Amino acid sequence: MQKILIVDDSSTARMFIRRCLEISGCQDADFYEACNGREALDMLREMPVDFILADLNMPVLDGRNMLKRLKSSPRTCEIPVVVISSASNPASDVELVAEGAYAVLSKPITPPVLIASIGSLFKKKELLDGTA
Amino acid sequence: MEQHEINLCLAIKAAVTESIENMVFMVIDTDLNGLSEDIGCDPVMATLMVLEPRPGLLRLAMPKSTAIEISKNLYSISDREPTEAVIQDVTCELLNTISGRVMKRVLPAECTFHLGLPEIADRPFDPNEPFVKCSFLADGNLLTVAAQL
Repeated sequence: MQKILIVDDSSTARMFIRRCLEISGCQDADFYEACNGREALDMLREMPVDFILADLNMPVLDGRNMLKRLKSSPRTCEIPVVVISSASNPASDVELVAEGAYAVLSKPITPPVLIASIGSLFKKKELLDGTA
Repeated sequence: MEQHEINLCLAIKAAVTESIENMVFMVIDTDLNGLSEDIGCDPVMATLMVLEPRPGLLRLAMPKSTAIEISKNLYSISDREPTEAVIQDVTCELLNTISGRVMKRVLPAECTFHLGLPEIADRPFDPNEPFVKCSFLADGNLLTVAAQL
């Protein structure tokens, strides 16, 4: 079963992202939530996940710095991170992908956009697991 | 109205429509059909600072009844009222989403921007401040977005 971590300081945003994931075919996944990058990193010490969907603009530790820390650790560098942000634009999206983001999506996300992104993540994981 | 203000108004209208219709599935009407823009004596208001490329401010204000209706639609609850915490979080997240889309429309694609965190405002906005203000109906419920960019 997929384990998906949603990181956003807004409980509304976390609920909305989870609902979009469920509509997109992830209804059987185990969902975990964190309010900021620091909380997410703490959770990941105890429990690996398959994907992370993270906001960019958060208090305590923002999404960009969380991404840098994830990608600098051998234990977490392979976890795909999808950034979902209200402040994304073509210029910053290119920077984030260069820093290791799997994809960058603009708020509000929609199931069709998420299916495209998450679908490719599923396929990649199945191939790695030899279950394709 | 100057060209900059017209462009900002168009950006706000597009951003509100995209955000509300995609998140809450409520239809946005830019024509108030003669309704007053007065948000009443018990409004819910949020503010968000633009930090880069230049300082600015965006605001969302709506009657409590609109905030409740949007929260109920977003959380798919019909049998109870949303809590105050949910109403405030929905208002802040909505402003956050609208603000990002406004900035993307008013700035060139190669220009990055940085937003602050949305906050609930507890004082009424001063109508004399130089804001571009746009009012809408979301399934008949009034809301107002104002920007100073």
